[in-house]
Amino acid sequence: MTAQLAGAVRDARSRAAAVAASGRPVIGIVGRDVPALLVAAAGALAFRLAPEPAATEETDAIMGRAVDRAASLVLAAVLAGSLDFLSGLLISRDTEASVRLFYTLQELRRRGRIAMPVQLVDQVHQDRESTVQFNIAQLEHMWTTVEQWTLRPITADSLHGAHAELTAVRTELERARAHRRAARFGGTSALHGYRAAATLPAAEAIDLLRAAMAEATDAAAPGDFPVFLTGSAPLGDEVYRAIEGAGATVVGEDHDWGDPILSDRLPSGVDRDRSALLRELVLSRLRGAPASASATMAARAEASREGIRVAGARGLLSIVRPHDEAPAWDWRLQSARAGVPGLMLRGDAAEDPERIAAAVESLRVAS
Amino acid sequence: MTRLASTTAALTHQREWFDELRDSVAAGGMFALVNADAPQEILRAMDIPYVVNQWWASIVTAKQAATESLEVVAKSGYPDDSRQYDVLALGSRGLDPERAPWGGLPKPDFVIAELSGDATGKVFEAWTDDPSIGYFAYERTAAVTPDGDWWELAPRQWDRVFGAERIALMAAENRLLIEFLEQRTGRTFELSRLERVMQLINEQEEYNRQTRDLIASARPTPVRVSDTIPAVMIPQWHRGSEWGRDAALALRDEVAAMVAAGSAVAAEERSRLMWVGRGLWSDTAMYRRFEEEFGAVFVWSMYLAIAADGYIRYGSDAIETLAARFVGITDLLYAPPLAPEWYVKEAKGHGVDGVVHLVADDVPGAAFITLALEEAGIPVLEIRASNADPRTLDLTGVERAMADFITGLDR
Repeated sequence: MTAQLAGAVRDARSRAAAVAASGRPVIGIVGRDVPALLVAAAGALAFRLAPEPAATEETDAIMGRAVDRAASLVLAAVLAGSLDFLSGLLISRDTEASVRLFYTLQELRRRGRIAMPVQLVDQVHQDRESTVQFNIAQLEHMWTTVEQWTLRPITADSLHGAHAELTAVRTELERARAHRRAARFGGTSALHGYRAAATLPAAEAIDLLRAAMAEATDAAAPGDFPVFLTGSAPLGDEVYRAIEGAGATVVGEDHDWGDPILSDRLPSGVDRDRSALLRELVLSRLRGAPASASATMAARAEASREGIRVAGARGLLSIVRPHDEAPAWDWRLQSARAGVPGLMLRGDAAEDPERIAAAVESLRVAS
Repeated sequence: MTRLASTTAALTHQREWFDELRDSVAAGGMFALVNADAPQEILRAMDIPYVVNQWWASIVTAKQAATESLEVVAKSGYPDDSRQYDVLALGSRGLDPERAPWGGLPKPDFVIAELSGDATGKVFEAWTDDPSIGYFAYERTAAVTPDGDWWELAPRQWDRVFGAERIALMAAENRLLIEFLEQRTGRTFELSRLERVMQLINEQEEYNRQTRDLIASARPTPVRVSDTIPAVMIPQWHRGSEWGRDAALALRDEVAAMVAAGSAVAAEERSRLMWVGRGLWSDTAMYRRFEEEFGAVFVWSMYLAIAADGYIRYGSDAIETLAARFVGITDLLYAPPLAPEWYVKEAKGHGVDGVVHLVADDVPGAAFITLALEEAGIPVLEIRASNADPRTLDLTGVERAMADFITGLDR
């Protein structure tokens, strides 16, 4: 069943397109900072975009080559028309590349090159009251926007329904994390689980996660060397497969497609006025696990150290894609405070399975 | 042609000011290091000396100490291929004192920056590896689409350019910065001082606007861009002081006199060029060769133009007015649609024949600037380079490409 989970994640875009074809709006999301609760409460499927391989000559010409491919691949998909089923695209300020993507798409739309509506959900990241107030105002805009895109109002009932649905998905993700920590679930499967939860209709994601966990057995983890992964949020699952193919298991991570998703809590309830609800959503993300591009080096180092401890990792591996600036800054403090041997691969090496396997072996020897 | 007296005066003043700053710090005085995109006016109003990070980076670069400074950064465990311009000051602190430009940058008491990009905040956090250095960060919010021509609206109707929510956030952060500084310096912020600073800045930038307009309409071009840049930028780093205001006035008067006298950069001005992006102005010989061989004169750089259009703000609440000045200052230069529309307006206003566009790695929206200029019928040469990292710059290739471009304009 883990193969079924992997297959479903691989087909997530076509599954989302089928949802749209059935009449339910689908809203695309870029980044971790866009609250899916509001999208779901407006009756839409929240489809978080996972970049897919594509040629980037045209996007390089538009956005420049010095931009993380996480953004240019989304642009490529929009230009190719493969996301035309979306009712709109909500982009978070999770990285500078995402902001560039937003400016680019907004300008292309202004020029008539694309038709897809696009909005930046400008959530900034310092834990200050002024930031909270600004972020609440941005979520107010998002609330109005998703209602316009779906032509469905967000109501008390729809909020309750969405909250229940997302809570159920979250419960399965927490179970999957517990399986992973008990070495009954590998890192690649965990990654697939998070992706399923962020891209598929809730019922499908729940079924897939349950089936995968039912199949899990003791000693199902792919390798005997537990590694904690930091660095760039992966585009696909290639990095995980390379690490686990080298005899290690990714037991935890601090990028935005992994365990940090569970640190963003759902509101405790939805029976309250709108501003109180939005405030709770804002605070949840502000106080959730720190992301490299928006957190201090000190916060990142502390979060990694704790992640390593909780997951029982014996090595820290940082995989940093070209043009993803922030993780390389984190590394000095992260590696110093990790308490386990660490190794960073940057640039082209970060995408070379052989180099990744060699890094795993070096870490194993060092530990 | 001799250098502008305003330029010589500005350079002399800056050297004297920096020597005084070093003496003051050696005697126990405080100072701040501030990124150019963060407000400096509160420091001015509180009489806290400050060095602008980008100015110091330009000194490090001009004194051929950039490579060594980046090596220092790498040795300390941070990347030397990220945010190079922002990080030069940090690296320069580790230079051999004999090699350090102008005697070296003293250790700041606090550093202030806006959280632009993914790593600027980390660059400034790295200063706090020395725990005696305090750090204050402003949020960076995204540009909104303006409700009209921003250069017309920004001085008084800034909500229509930047959005009220963004301005309210930065105004709140201005108040937090005041608290931060009061706690660390024991000084008391006085609003009336900030109001005076804001008044002086508006006067200074109005003079810059007049200078820009004089140069835009002059035929032939009376002054080199490489001369006006220090004559504008050094007073910009002293914005809010009477010296800064008076220096802008002196520049305006000098340019007006040169226009009246028919002064010309090139004996025969055949091509008028605009330079978009950060400059490569340290190689003045390259530009003189274009003047002499091709009659090609650079008539525009962003430094005077953004001083003219980007800074003037008239408002009754100085804290909010200051926020309205800074909240989108970088957007005006880089983000679509604000930046492309402005460059086209400036290109037309200066009657340029072509544009050289230096596209740095860390700026968004460059393609749309080029596109807008070309749609307006203005040829563009794009140069992709970082002006902060000499290791990435092929000046010979740049010169060759520019020569080909200018030759093409002549045809």
